[in-house]
Amino acid sequence: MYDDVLSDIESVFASTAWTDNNITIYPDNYQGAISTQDEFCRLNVLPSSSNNYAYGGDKSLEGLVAVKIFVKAGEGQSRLMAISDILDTVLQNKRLTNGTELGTSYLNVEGLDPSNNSLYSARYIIPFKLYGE
Amino acid sequence: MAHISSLGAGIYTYLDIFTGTIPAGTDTAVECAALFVGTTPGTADADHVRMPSVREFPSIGTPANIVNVPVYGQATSSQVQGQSDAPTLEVTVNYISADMDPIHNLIGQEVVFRFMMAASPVTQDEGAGNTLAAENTEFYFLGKIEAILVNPALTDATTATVTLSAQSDFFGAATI
Repeated sequence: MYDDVLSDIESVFASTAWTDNNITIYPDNYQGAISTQDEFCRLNVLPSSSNNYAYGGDKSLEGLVAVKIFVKAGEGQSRLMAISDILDTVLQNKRLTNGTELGTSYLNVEGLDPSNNSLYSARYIIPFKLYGE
Repeated sequence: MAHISSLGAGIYTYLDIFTGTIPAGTDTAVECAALFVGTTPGTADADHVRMPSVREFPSIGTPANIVNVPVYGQATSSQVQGQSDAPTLEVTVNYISADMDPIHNLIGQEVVFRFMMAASPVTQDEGAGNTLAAENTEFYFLGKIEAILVNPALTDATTATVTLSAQSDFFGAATI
């Protein structure tokens, strides 16, 4: 199930609906070079709880998808909000190929990146749920 | 096998339905159990249906209806068990239209229900055997599916409330 969720979410960011926007997104635990220094995202899939949704042992898995958005510092919040709206169009209330269902998003604006003051950041968070077998 | 012999969560609880012809005078657990055995034991027949994706079960069994009987010269009344009302039998299921179609088709038809608790998963075919490898306990009753009400939900699975009626006593606890 965990793999199904990750595969579903990553497939969204491989689709043209996202790639047409030319915003690079890096998976969590990526340690290579980040070439687009002044605008990029980081993707985190965070399963957090599960339960039996039916007798017989059927399991559902839920958690959060967190996308950390980095934009150029000193240019206001506009680009941050624009990227969040793009994320909404590809994620919010969607049911993906393996059955992962996404809910409604919210945004935590986190300000200047403490490790790089040339970047301004926010965390886009959207809950997911997957009903398994 | 034998009855469940240790305390545990009732994860492996099932509601099976026999939709075939019910022989007249079916009024014991053994007679009901025989209806759930496949023509080839271990393979469910077409008239064996399982309630899909049950989310909540009702209490199953004969409820009490205690009647107080005044007794002359006694400080407290005595009590007897009167005829009780059948319990409310509402099963909540995760509603998947395609899976529930056979259940919709049974509305109003007299069937036999088997409420089975088991110590490990029991497939429909395994449940159509003469015995089970897992510890298990069953209650049977004759009744009908009277209504199915669908409850859409914004943030969780769509569910449905399936209302059953009891047309007989509850037979059990039994084991296969």
